[in-house]
Parts: sequence; structure tokens; C-alpha cells
Amino acid sequence: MLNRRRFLNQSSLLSLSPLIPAFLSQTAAASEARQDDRILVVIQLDGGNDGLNTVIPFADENYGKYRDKLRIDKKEIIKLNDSLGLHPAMKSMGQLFDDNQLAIIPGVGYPNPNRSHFRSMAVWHSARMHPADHTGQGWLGRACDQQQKPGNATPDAVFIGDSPIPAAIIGRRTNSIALNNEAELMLASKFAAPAKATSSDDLQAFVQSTVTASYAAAKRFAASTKNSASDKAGYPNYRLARKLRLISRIIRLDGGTRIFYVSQPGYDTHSMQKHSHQRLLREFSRSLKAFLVDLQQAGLSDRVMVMAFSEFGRRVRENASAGTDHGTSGPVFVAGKSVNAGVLSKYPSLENLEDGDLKSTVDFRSIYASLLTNWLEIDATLPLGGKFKPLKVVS
Amino acid sequence: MSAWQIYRPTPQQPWTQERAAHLHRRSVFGSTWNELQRDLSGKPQEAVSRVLSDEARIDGIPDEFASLANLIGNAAAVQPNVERLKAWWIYRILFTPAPLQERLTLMWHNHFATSNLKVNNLPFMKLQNDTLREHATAPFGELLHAMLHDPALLTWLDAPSNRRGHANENLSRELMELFTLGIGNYTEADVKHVARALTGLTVKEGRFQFNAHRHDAGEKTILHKTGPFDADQLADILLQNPATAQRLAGKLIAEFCSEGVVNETAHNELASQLRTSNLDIGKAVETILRSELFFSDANINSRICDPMSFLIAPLRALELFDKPPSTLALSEWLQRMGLDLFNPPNVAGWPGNRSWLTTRTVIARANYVAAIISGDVYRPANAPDLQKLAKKHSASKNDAFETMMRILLLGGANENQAQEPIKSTIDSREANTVLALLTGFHAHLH
Repeated sequence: MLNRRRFLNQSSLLSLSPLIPAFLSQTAAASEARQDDRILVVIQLDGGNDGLNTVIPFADENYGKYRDKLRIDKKEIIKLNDSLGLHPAMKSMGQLFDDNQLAIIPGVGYPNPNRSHFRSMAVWHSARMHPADHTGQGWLGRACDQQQKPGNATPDAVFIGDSPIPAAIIGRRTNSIALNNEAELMLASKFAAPAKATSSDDLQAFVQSTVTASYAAAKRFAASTKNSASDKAGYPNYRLARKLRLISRIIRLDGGTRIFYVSQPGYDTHSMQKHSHQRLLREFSRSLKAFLVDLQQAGLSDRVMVMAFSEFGRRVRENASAGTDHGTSGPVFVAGKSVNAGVLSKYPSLENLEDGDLKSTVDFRSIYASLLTNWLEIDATLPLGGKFKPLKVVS
Repeated sequence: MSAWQIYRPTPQQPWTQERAAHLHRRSVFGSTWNELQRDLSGKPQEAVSRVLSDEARIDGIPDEFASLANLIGNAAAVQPNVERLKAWWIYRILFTPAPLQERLTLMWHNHFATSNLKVNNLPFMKLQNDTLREHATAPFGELLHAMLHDPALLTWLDAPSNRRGHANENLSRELMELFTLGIGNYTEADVKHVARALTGLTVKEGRFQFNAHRHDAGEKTILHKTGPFDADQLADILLQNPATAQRLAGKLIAEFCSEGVVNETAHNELASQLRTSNLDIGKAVETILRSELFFSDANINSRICDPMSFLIAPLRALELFDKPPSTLALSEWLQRMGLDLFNPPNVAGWPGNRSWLTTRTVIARANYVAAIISGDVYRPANAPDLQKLAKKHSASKNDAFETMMRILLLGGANENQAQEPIKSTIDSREANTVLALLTGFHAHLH
């Protein structure tokens, strides 16, 4: 029989799934306990990135055969080794590569690839192949589910953006929040701080200290936006850069949240892609570099790793409108000081295509497995719905 | 019932402005000054009766509320933007003559927490919301049976993929863990058998459908009962289980009472009343609202003010009715305060209580108050004339406006309030008063 005490214990376990501010835990103990925790930042390249023109197999003569109008001049390619190079717009990431802060994993995909944006993104988000298993929960959400601690008041995952929270960070109990912009963390007017906590009543003391701490945090945050510390990192004027800078500020101001998620839209380049793709890659590359420089200056590089992926690559042969259509496998990037730097997989053959697409050489779940087990130190079996041999992306 | 005996004013616990404001703030999103004065001039049980019989509000209800609300709601359901559906609900809450029903609809939305993020179907979400409202105060069985036929809930919990021989246990588990018994009152074997009883529930052509071919008609053993149960028979088994009444009692207590105010005996008594009244929710709410416990000092200003109350109560206190604020703008503020309607954080809903107050949401609350005062909640911006409001209630002199607002906005709480002067650029005394009251910490308790 259910007595009240047991009932309360149970309902508190039920009700304590956290819901909270990104940058300030409610109690000092909670934030201290998590201050050294490692953080994963995911950048979603939305729309299907043209992997062939991102990590380019310039030494393969087939490249020029399939890419006529869209061919990148060999001279301009940023060489990674004697067969592969990065798009010329990705100088910053080339520097990260030289600096051992970038892992490049070409040919990432999954069996029986789906060329629908929606379906394929659902596969990447859920780490499940079958549409019936695309239940709105994702690999990181499920991972956080396993880490739920009663009384934890920090959000497990923060999505920066104004679109709906991606399924990747939704779990059964995981609390993910979305933040649109910095204004949400600043006070619109100068409010007087309420009196210091004086009440002996527990709830009143909680409210007093939370309100006081929140106003103080807003002031700190406002000050941090004026402080040029992160400006020294040289963030370029891109939307992705602004989102990453906000993440850096949140990480710096407090701690606790371990998963951050952003997307960079626009990769669905069906026509005249030369300039738009170049612009996208430049934004991606420069923003990522600035973010890592910023973290380094803040002494946080040991704690943060970034993964960037797209729901699919594009067809090998360009289409008649100087663009590319939906394909299958593509490159994944993992960046950070602790990354196992280098090119970590075999580039798919341009000879042996599958229905005009690059055959995948790496299952994306083996990258997830490594990020979960080697970086976040969370058992990957449940989040991935099975065991996958990690492709070691952490050094 | 002894633990829930009816509140009658005594010299120790007189019927005061504070107690009247407490009733309004806890149960119906606050009130106007006139509504408060009317209730104060009568007996407390009459005031409770007005809350229960949808007569609590006298100000700001549009003549054609029902048809206007239907018009807005139906239009919102057939366009693609969920923001308009949220705005519709906020419109209802702000203007309905039946605010207690909306309070409970919100409670049920949190109980059967369904997210449009996955359902991705506004007519389904609207239908579910209407169903929650229709059965808000009914015997709980009516609501539970309706939810097992609800396209939004079934989609949300993957019922259509739960077929004979191909179990999907999502609905099965949440039905017992979250909607009825609570964790610890069933076994994993029950989850499997319940999933079988739930096979065949599906959604087709925009409606609920029972697919007999997919239903597993075999024997199941659920909570020690054996039979070829279907979904409705299963629901009845769950409704009869004492754990369900116990859990619902806890749910209602948490909705209307502060932490620690209701002891085990009172909780058990309410559960017992629910069991013997066919889980009549309206009756249980009445028991709570009429009680001495509800009006006790310990229960006043001792619960975290939820975002919807924080959103609505100032608008009613300031009587922003003729040309109301933009409900789309209000919906945005509500999201920043942590309540994104039709999009609960997960299947367990919003944890509520202390978790409402976080750095981000406290900042949002303060900024919301600033937006009311500056008129930014209107589109285009339009600062409210608070001097006119003060004049209307003969509260222009001395501290009269502040006294009035302290009752309406803070339930009369006044200790340690705003010791530093407010550094605001706004030069209206009334506006500064509202700003000071609502950005101090008492504003977060109700």
C-alpha cells in the first residue's frame, strides 16, 4: 500500500526532472559537482552538405569527371594530405587541422540511406533506422535520461535557435530548453535587487536567493557582452558565430549543462551552389575556429568538444542547374583540443558508386558511440539501441 | 470530512482582503479590485461558490466570449502556426467567465502532457485541449476513457504502432506510471500485458479508430486480474485501483495547496472521498477550496506562482481588457517564463513548483512586467493609463494605489519588500509601484 511518505518520495522523483536556466544552477553544490564535466556542442549543417566539395579527393581523376561547373581548382584546395583537401573557404578549419584540433571523418552514413531530409535527419537524431522508432526522442536525450539525478536543476541540453528543439536532444525525462538570443538573459530595466535572503522560511529563502542571484547573473551576463574577452577571439559576423559565442558565454558563466546544439541552415544547394556553398562553409569554418579560440582563452578547451554533421551528402554528379541533388554519405567533423586529430576514415571510392552515390565507409553510430563513451562517459548501448564499435574520436 | 472541514471566519482567521485575494490568486488567476471587494463584502463560502459556479469574474468578459473564442480557436487549428493556437488558449484564460475550468484544463494538459513537436497536428492538439476542458471537473474516468480515444495522445505515445505481436509499450507504461497508478504500483509484466490490451487503438484519416485486426484479444493478467481485456476494460481496472485515487488526490493538493500544508491524514481522506465519489474531480476541488486548510495562514503566499498566473493576474488587476494586449506577445512571454503551451518538456510534463524559478525565467518575469508597464505587450506598443485606473477606484491619493495593488498582486504580502529604490526611468508613480511590487520576491509566491 502506498503511504504518504512513499508517495511523496516517488512524486518528488517524478517531479524533479530539471527545468532551468542555462547559466546558473540553483545551488552552489549542484554547480560545483558538475563544473568539471565535459561538454559536447553539436553543429547541425541543415539541408544536406555537399561533402564531395567540402572534403575533396582532389587526386582522384573521377572528381573532375563528375564535377564540371562545380569543380574546385586543385591549386586552391587546402591540402590535408596528398589526396584530400578542404574547400578553399575553410582556411580556418585547415589551421585547426594543422594544429591537431580537428578530426575529419569522410564517408559517414548508414545502411539503406534515405534521401528525404526529414527521414534522414530523423535517423541521425534518433540513431534508429526504422521510421516506427522515430518517436521524437534522440540519442543525446536518451543519453541524458541515464544521467538523471534527483534534485538536479540545470538543463541537460540547450538548443540555441528559434526553431523547435531538435529530437536529438529530447529524451523521456531529459530537460532541454531553447534560447533564442542574448536578450533573454538580460534585464530590460534596472531593477533594484530585492533584499538579501532573511527569511527563515525555506520556500521564501529559496525565492529570495533565486531572485537575487538571477538579477545578479543578468548583470554579469550584460557585463560579459560588453567585456571584450570573447571579442578577442575574433568572432566573425555570422549567425552561427553569434550562436557559438552565446554558448561560450553560458559555459563561462556557470556550468552544468553538458549538451549544446545549434544548426546552420542553407545546405540544400540544388542549383547554382558554387557561391552559396562557399559562403556556408566559410561561415561554418570561421565560426568554429573563433569558438575554439575563445574557449582556449577562457581556459575551457579541455572540457569542450564539437561535432558537426549533416543529414546526408549530395550526389556525386552535379545536376544540370550547377547544383547537386540529395545523396547519401558525407563527412563528419569533430573538433577540440582533446580530439583524435587527423583523417579518421577511408574516403569512399569514386569508382565504385552505389546508385550514383558514395558508399559509406563509417556508420555514424560508431562516432556517436565514441562521443558518448570516450567523451561524455555515458554508456552508449541504450542511446544507440545497440552496441557499436566506437571510432575513436577522442585522443 | 474532519481534515477538510469548511472554513468559517473566526477572530483568529477572519475573512480579510488577503484571504479573498488568496482564493482568487490560487484558483482563478487573480482578480480585479471590484471582484475582490464584492467577495469581501459577502461570506467566504459564497466567494468559493462563485469560483466553483463560474461567477467569480465580473469584469472584462466580452459579451460574445463563447462564440469569439470558438472563432479564434477554429481559425487557429486550420492554419500552420502553433503560436496562434497558444494565443487562443491565452485569450480563453484571460477572458473566460469560467477561469477555474481553465486552471484545471492546464493541470490536465500537464497530466496528459502531449507535445505538438511530435504530434505535429494542430487540429489534434485543439481537439485534445477541448476534451481536457470538457471533462476538467468530471469524474476522472470520463477523461481517461476520452484520452484513450484521443488522436493527439495516441500519436504522442505511439499507440498506432502497438499491434498484436508487435508491442510498443510507450502508452502502456505512461498510462500506469503517469496517468493513473504512479510508479511502484505495477510490475514490468503488467506493462507488457497492458500494452497487449491497448493494441488496435489507432488514428486514421484524422480520427480515432479501433482496428480489430491489430488487437490482441487474448487473455491478459493485469494487476492480478485475468481476462481478454480491451482498452476500456483496462482503464476501468486502473480507475478502480486505490493507487489512482491516491495519486489524483496528491495531484489536486499540489495544484491548490502549498508544500507541507496537507498532512497524510488529509491526503488519505481526500483519496477516500475520490474513491467513493467515482473519482469526481469537481467534488474534490470543492472540498479543497472550501476548507479551513485552504484558507489557513500556512497555505497563503506559500506556493511558487506558476507562469500562467504570473502572466494573467497582473493583466486582470490592471484591467487591461478594452484593447487587450497581443495574445501572441503574451504567448512569447509565457514561453520565456518556462511554459510553452502544447510543448511540454517531456511526457512527465512541467515539473512545476520550485523549478519554475530559474535565472532565465526570473529575468523573463521581470522583463515581462517592464513590458506591461511600457506597453510593449501591445502591438503596436501602448502604455496603459494607470492613473486612470487609480482614479476609477478612488486610489489616487497617498499610498492608496500601492495598497490596492499590494493586495491584488501580492495577496497583501509586505515584509522586506523592495528596500532599495527602483531605478526606473518611468516617471509615473503608479507604473513604478507596479514595477516595484512585481519585481520583488513576493511576486513569485501566491
